[in-house]
Amino acid sequence: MASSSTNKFVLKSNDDVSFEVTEAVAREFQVIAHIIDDDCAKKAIPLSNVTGEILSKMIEYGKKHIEEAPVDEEDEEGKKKLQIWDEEFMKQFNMEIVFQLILASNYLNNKGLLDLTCCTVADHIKDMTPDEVRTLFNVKNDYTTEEEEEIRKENSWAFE
Amino acid sequence: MEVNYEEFSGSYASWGMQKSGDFSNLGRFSEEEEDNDGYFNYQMSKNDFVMGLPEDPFCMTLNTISDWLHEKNCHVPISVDYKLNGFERVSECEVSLPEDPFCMTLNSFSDWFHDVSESCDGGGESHDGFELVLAYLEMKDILAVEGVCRSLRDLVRKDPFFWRSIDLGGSPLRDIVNDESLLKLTRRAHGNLQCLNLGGCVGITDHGLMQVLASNPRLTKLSVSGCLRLSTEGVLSALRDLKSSNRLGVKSLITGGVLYFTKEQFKELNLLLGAHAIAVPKSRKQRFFTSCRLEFSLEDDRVTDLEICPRCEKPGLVFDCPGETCPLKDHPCLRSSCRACVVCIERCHSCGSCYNDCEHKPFWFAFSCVVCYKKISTQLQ
Repeated sequence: MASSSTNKFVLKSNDDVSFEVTEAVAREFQVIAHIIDDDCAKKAIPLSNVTGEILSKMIEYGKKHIEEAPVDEEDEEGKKKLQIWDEEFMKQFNMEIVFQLILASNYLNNKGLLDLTCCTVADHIKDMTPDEVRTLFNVKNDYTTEEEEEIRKENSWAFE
Repeated sequence: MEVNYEEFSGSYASWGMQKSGDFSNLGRFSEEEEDNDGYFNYQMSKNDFVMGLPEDPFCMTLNTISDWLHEKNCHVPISVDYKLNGFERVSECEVSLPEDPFCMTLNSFSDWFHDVSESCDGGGESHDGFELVLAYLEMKDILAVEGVCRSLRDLVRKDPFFWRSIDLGGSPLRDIVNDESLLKLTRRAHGNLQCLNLGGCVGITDHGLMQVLASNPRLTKLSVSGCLRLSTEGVLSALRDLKSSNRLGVKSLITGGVLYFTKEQFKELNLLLGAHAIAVPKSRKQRFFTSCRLEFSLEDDRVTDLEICPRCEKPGLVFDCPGETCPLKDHPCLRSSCRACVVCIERCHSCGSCYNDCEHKPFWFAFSCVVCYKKISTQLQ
């Protein structure tokens, strides 16, 4: 088998945008790694759940994590550098894109990106009131007064 | 579709709760379902909708479809048996499916979904992917999210695996949770609670713990570390009562040193938790003062974090020495070895080494050794 740095694969998004990536980057996504292992990746690999916009961002993330991977467990500086890059990387997205990234990284099974994206949402929500969460996600309050009262009663202890 | 549960449950694993096991037990994530319609579920990320689909909306039994496929003499990887590693097959298989066999344009299908989502969400907002975020949220934020709208409330309340494990250790709620609110919280699991971490919940009393244990017979892992209002006798009698009525599920109890047991009580505790009275574990993970004080998982076959101290022979938290040059570390005489309980051996609060090593002498008026003190002060500079 050719070395993973020279092997190239083409990933195709659902809106027909193709990306050529090295095997190492493709293997960042476990689902694709399985496809490669099963030797089913001769042609372009179609990813029916991911748009080109999202896929390009995911590949950018995968590439960075391959190139700048910490040397070993002890490499604190490398880890920190990558963490700072991750934070910067997430800053460019709005919530809608973040959720698309969550679904895509779950679908392609990239644990690192799933953690990163979910943590980003969790950090946003942290210490927010229901009203603030509504504004953040642009959600309407569809509770009746009784329902709202029931929930308030149930959870009031946590917000005293 | 192959899903690595271990990977998927990473954030739970970091609680040390070994949630990965729980995932595989769930029907929703079961291998079988994954193969059949997991792809579909994930694609829609609206399990409830898929569940809520009429069983056979177009009066087409599966047989009809497969008969039809049989006539066409081909194997079509339709989404029902769609496997992700079958991509190549999809692209190679040139099947002449009628474009719209059931005269359903895709639009009308998605319209239908939209209608459904309107009716269940009320507002019609979609929260695709939010169920993946739940596991990353702090308990207090979960309760806030519940108050946002109906669909998020249902997502939170009906999540089958989220409530199997409640972790209040490290949550800001641990300071305010009391017996009543803890019972409310654990009721959400509908009796399926398996892990409960009460690390630092100072408001919980013996009575509250008893109520929680009684209403959750499937609870196997319990941590009461830092629950200062609990008493040894109270906890023991709760366990005793439940054991006698055969309703005790707890197999593992973390005390975090908050409960002091006499030798007799320790023997009884071991028996109640289903171990041998003078439990000598077959495997024993090395435990260090710094990392293991706050841990929730034992990771070996012991039932509590308590052990008989080799020095004073009383039950307590026994720690190993991490110091590499420590002369007493592997002392052949157990009584002289520095593997001992916190009462017998004083340890550095930063690195956990005993002060017998010449390198790790205690620093005056500090809880750390000279080495750690120097490290901390250079960091501060």
